Amino acid sequence: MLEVEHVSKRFEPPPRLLRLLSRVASPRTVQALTDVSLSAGRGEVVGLVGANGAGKTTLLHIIAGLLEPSSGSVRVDGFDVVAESLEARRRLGLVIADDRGFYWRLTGMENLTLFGVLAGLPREEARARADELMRQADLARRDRMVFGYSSGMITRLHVARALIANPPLLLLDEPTRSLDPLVSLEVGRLVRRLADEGHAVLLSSHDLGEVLKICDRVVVVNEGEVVLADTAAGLRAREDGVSGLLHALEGAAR
Amino acid sequence: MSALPALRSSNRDRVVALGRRDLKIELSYHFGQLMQLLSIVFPVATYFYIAQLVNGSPELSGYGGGYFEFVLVGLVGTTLATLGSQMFSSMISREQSEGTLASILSTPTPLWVLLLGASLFPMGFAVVEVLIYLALGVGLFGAEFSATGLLVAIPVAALDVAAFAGIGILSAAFIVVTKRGEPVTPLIRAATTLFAGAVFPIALLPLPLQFVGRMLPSYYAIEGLRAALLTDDPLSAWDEMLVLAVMAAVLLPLSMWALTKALRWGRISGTLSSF
Repeated sequence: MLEVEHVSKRFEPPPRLLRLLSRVASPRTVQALTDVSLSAGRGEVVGLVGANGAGKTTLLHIIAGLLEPSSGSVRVDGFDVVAESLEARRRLGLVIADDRGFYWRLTGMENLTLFGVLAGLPREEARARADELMRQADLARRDRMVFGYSSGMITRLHVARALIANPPLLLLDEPTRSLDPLVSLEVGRLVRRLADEGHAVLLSSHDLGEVLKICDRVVVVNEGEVVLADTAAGLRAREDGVSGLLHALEGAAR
Repeated sequence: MSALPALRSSNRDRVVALGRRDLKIELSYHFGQLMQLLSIVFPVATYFYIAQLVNGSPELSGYGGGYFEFVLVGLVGTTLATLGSQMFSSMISREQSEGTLASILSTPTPLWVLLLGASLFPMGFAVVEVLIYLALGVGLFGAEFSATGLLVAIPVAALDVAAFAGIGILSAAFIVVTKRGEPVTPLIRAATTLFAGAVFPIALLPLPLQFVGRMLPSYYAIEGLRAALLTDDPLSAWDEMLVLAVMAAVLLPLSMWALTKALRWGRISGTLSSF
């Protein structure tokens, strides 16, 4: 379902003229990803673990078509995310780690319906699906505009949006961010259930315990490079378990 | 879940959904648009009284002779030019600042559908504005227009918006790259007022400045609207329609190319969502 092959991403400073027009985040070249390869099949949850700035979000954005890789290729269900972007995007749902991303002057229900139609559902079907997801996400107050939502509610709305058209690939960038432990647990169960239904899931998280519990395989990235890739069972079976994984992360960070 | 679900919404559904989004957002601010519509009465009334001073000027003889009708059509032309030039840059600017640009661009929606959907509400609102201009002018201040001319004015207005939409999409491309400082709309409004004959005939300008006016789509739009609405031969607007059609045919593909390049640059540089 998802094949990432030798992806590198380098952010170059923009040309001088553009730097005159607008200040840029960094005037230097930043190597965000180097030769990253991974895959996720249907029914599989792959965890992407790494410290802040390791390149997890960059990779997810490349897969979602929001960034272009400098080299390498990404295919979703056989479609290249750059050359066949519309077809690739039809097949994925993205949860972004951002409190923004919704129309704050619309209700959650209106947002979900809109994104359902944009994802390809007929309006009535999008409304029915949005209604169902609002209930599942425990967002019962359907008349409330998004600007009245808490961070946790926005995160749940993000998850609901990713599921609106039931895409075969789900990209979840820290989906349990801002959630209380009980709801995080519920999201974990939901991710596992989605995989059992046949979705492929790529999940980025800081929570190693959560990743080892939910995921089938784990990929650890550090400074844009894959430093460890193994099955969750394999990692759990290691004598040093989670502490060994933490050690690997720390070692990579040094 | 083993296969891709059947996705049957058409691009028409998407365009309508985007138009409905903008309508709901605007209606959530209860007074914003209402005040804008009410404010139309002020320029109309102001120019009505200025017209009492300048009626009968020989420069107006080719336009039916009445300054009020002349300037009312100029205001309509300026409204349409502003609409075309700012609707897309406003959309991009808003989507960037609210963080929804990434959300929208991660959906399988073609770029042209996003642009068309984003234009629905502003175009509908501009039609209401234009109708208010004309209703106030005719109903309250006694302006006179040819009824046949109103029919001819519709394609002139549509071509005007199409030509300016090209400029508007170029402006949106600029916003994608620079984030702020949309340079086109204020310039278009000012240039239309000064050079394109919105409030006085460009024959009063020095020759080099008349040449500048003739480079602007708004000159042909306003001249076309005046030919349709103020003269005995509305079909004489044909020449202006032709020029506007050529401008639209050049500007629209050029601007789409520029916006596609700008979005690609955003994807390469990682600045798509920043503002």
